[in-house]
Amino acid sequence: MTRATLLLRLRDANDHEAWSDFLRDYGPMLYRFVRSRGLQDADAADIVQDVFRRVGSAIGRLEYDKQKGGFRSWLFTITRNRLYTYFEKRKKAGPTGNDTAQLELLSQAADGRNELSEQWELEHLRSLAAIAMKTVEENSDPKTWSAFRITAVEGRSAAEAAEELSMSTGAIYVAKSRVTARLRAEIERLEKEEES
Amino acid sequence: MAISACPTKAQLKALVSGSMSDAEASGTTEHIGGCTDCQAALESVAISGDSGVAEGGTGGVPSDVPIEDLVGQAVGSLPPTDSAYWKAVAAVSGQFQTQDTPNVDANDTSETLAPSSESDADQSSIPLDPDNTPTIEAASPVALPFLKKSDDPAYIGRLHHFEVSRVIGRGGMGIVLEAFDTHLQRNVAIKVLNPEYAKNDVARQRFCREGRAAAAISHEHVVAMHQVAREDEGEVAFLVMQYIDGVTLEKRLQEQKPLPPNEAARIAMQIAAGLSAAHERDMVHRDIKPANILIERGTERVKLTDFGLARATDDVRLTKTGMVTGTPLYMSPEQATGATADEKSDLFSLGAVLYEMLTGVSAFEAPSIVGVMKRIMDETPKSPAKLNPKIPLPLSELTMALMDKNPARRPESAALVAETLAEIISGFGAVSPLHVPAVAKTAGKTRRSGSHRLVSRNTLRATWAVGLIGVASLCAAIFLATRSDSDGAVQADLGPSFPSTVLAGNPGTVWAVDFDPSGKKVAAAIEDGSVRLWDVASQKVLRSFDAHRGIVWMIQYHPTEPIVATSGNDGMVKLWDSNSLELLQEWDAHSAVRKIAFSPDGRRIVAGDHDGVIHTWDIDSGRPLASVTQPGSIYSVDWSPDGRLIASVGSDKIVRIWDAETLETRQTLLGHEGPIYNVKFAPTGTQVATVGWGKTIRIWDTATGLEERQLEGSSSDNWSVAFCGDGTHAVVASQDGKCRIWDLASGELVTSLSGHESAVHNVSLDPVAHQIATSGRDGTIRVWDLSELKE
Repeated sequence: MTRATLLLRLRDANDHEAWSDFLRDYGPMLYRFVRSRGLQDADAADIVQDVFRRVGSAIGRLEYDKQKGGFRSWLFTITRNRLYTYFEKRKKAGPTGNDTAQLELLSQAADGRNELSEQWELEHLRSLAAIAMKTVEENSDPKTWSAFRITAVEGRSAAEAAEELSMSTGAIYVAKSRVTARLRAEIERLEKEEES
Repeated sequence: MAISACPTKAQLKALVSGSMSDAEASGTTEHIGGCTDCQAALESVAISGDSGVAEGGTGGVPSDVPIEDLVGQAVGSLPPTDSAYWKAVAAVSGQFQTQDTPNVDANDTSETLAPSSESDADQSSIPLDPDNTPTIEAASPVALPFLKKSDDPAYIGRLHHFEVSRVIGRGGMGIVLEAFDTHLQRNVAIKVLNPEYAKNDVARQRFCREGRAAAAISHEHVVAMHQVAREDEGEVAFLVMQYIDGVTLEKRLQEQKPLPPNEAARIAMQIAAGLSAAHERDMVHRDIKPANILIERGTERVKLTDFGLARATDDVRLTKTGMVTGTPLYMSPEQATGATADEKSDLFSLGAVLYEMLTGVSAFEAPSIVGVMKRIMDETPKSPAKLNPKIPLPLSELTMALMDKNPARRPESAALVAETLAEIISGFGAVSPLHVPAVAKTAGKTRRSGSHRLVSRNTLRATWAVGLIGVASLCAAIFLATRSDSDGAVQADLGPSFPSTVLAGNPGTVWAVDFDPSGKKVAAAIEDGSVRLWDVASQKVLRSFDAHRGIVWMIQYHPTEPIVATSGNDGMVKLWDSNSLELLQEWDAHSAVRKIAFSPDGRRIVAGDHDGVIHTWDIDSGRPLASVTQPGSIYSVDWSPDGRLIASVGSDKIVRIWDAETLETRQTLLGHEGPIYNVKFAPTGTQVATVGWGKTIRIWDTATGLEERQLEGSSSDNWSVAFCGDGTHAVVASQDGKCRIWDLASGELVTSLSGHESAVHNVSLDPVAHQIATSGRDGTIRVWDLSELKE
């Protein structure tokens, strides 16, 4: 299902397949993004749920072609507004420094590059990376993939990977960089697909 | 065969894309295995998309994001299995589901929504039924790439000889770890500079430098800095500190807000004590905020952390985004405007923290950073006592003094603040010696207030000569000053050139001051309920006694007898024998009396109270003579020199002139735009002067009921006005910390006396010599010697 198709189908609240795809593709990044604002698990889940509902009720009004930056930036706007309301409410209950800082970030211009939008893009890239990893893994030599998994995913040292895979340290680095380059290409492809 | 020279970028690209010949690739690979520079270069080629694997295009992965930051277990993982997220997703999908196919089992729905086990091998226990989620503590690995593997499975990693057991927290500056120092066999906290900052050389150097400077501070209320270190290979800089088992004040405030006043005062006292130790070494903290204040478990001892570190991060924040981020809630006005932060900035921040502890709200809360900064610069928050009357006034006043916009008007030093707080706390009851911190020495020794006690056995030499001559000569002196000013010989602002004797260390705001008839001593009405008698020349407290419950608002000597009168917030008006300090007479006005005045013959006294009632009493018999009620609260009353009139002013903005015998209205003078704080009859003639809210001083003629003159020149509200002996000059105490003298004939400002650190509440003229006494919120009395003006 292409992104454009997905978005069209989301207009139908009863399109279960489209919605589960949407939740799969955007739910985790939404959750991570909201948590990155300093929210506890339960609060973050509430907000994610709320954003989903708003998407459901507002998707009909999204003119996909005209929305610059596409669906993602539209989703960002919804999320940002929802977070703003949340911090406003918290501020009334008894503000903390974080609330103020977050409100400031949230109220900055939507198209401005700031920590908030950077975090949003980063979480999105992470979601794409998770999808891309499956494709790249399938198309990679298992040993090369393992070298990447141990070093990049598990965060262990190249020396450890070298020992575990009986490869030279140099080979581990080369393997990691090859997978990285492929992942990057795949992420880029996914991103273009999403925006097309 | 390893090649010795580092491969070029083009070669690395070829290696990544696989277009390099096998032989060359093998040599290069071997080289990379031993060359950390090339390892880094290779990763950057791979992530930047320069490798030719992908067609370079716009968007995509920014080249400065390491691949670990995209695929690492900690960063890109799905929400933990026990997260409420899965329930939320199920709820949403269930909603669509019921609309669609109501008969489908909810479990099926969630199965498709929750990640399947094959999609993420690391999430081994994905619940099929989110409503039946097993509450397994999800492993939450944190990316700590700088840690080496620990031999001991109880630790999450190793850094130098520190075995790291857990991540305590993450802040803007970096990660704080709890670790065990294997060399010294003790627990420590390690602060690792955020790699983002570590890349910035200036920031890293600052971080290390500030860390080293902080290591010089050794104080029970400062977290001890053990070591400043750098990881050998990587770019990790870290600080090793004393490990404090406890919570931050930020956390404490999240749980409980506001704190009880005594607890808030205790915490603030210990912060001030810690600051005093740093300030003594010329270290400025720069970022006093609840998150940097730790409270030790068990002892409840307060510990300050992160001295000077704010400076290190500012470099990066500024260069990166062009503006300082983070919370400005506790920032001082001078910091908000970008000026250098100094000791006084720390005091402001301490004030803002104390304010939040006392009131439960941030003093400068606003919806945006800019909004907060604007409030910090322009607005004075409501005083804590105003928000909650249970907060003791001295504590409230101190909080507000700390948050004075003008650094020069804030308390002199952190040490002084700590001492003042100690005095305030002693008012709550006994203080455990554990809680009284060591304080860096202050210039003056603190004198603690207490119950009735004699500071000196020296009895007052009652020299009751009425010194009108002296007052007259003061006026002459002022006249001469004016003359020399017009000759251009003297600057208009003579303030600093007048010597003043400072009587400091009073336990709170001095609301009123009066010269004794000899002019050598002054009596002070202090907000903690005490009265102090000072010897001006020796700057010693001769006597101190508790006169009222709550604030003593006014103190005034009797015109002829050795009697001194006081009035207080407890509604009492009391007459004391000024030699023995015996209570001679007292009256209950039933609400706070801010001002009293003797009749010129000394036989009667007038008081105006908070409920708007004017009382007159006969001094000898104690008998009430008359009373009348006016709207609002009365802030001041005065008796005319001929004894026939009484003036009253207060919150209703009207000056009222009454018949002194009957308290029938004689005049109502309209014109003030706000509350009027003080009224004073001129020593001769029919004039009366009033001051209050707004900068204008008004002179009225009580005979005609007309306003005669307005005196402009004060930069803030005025608290008190006095006339010199012949009525040619008016002396005015102002909220702006100055005391000004006006020539009433010309309406010109003659001079202003600068010295008080905050509002001047009262002014009194020495009946004998050329002296003016002023008192104010900074807890000091200043006695100004104007005798130089005679020449």
